[in-house]
Amino acid sequence: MTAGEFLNGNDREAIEDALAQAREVSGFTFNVSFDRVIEDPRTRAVALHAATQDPDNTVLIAVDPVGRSLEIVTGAATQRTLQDSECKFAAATMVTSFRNGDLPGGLVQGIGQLAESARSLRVLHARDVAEL
Amino acid sequence: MLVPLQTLPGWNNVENPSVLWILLLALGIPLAFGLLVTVVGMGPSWARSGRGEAELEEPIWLGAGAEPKALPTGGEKMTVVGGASDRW
Repeated sequence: MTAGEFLNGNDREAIEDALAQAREVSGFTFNVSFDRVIEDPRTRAVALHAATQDPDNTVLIAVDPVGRSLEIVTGAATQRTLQDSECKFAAATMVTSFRNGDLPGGLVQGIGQLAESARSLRVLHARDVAEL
Repeated sequence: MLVPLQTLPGWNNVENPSVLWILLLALGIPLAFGLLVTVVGMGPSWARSGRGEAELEEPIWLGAGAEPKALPTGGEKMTVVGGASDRW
């Protein structure tokens, strides 16, 4: 099955839009990988994440639609605002849609959820340390 | 019994329906209608889930930046990572 048959143009566009919006909201790079993984999905996703241009500031969502596995990998910088518990919550949201056969919809929803969680909150009542 | 179970005088004589005809009316048509509603309602979902069953010939990479070609083999320094795993 080719990529075009797996995700149609509208699906890709919706996911790309969600990724761009997530980057705008959080300041981090979001990537989605669809691949058939033979080895351990987590190991593969971590290696893929490490090979990205800026792993520290990248959130990778690796989906194996055949093996039905989902991996969310966060880097050192993204981990400061995006906790593992929030990733688990987003993963649960995505998997719920995946079970209903809606991969693109689940991804769009999950990406938005991750981006909102990754957004660092502005502290308005305290001055920046650099100003002191 | 207020109404006799027979054709009233002046009305056309009606034969009793066969068991097969009663079964068709009582079970067949409702089942067929239910099946039709199920297919119309669940069809798109079934079609989408069916797409994931086949083998994925080529990986798909979405988002900013190019897809990494060479993966670390283990000797390279890995950054601290977190996240989550799930299956469905």
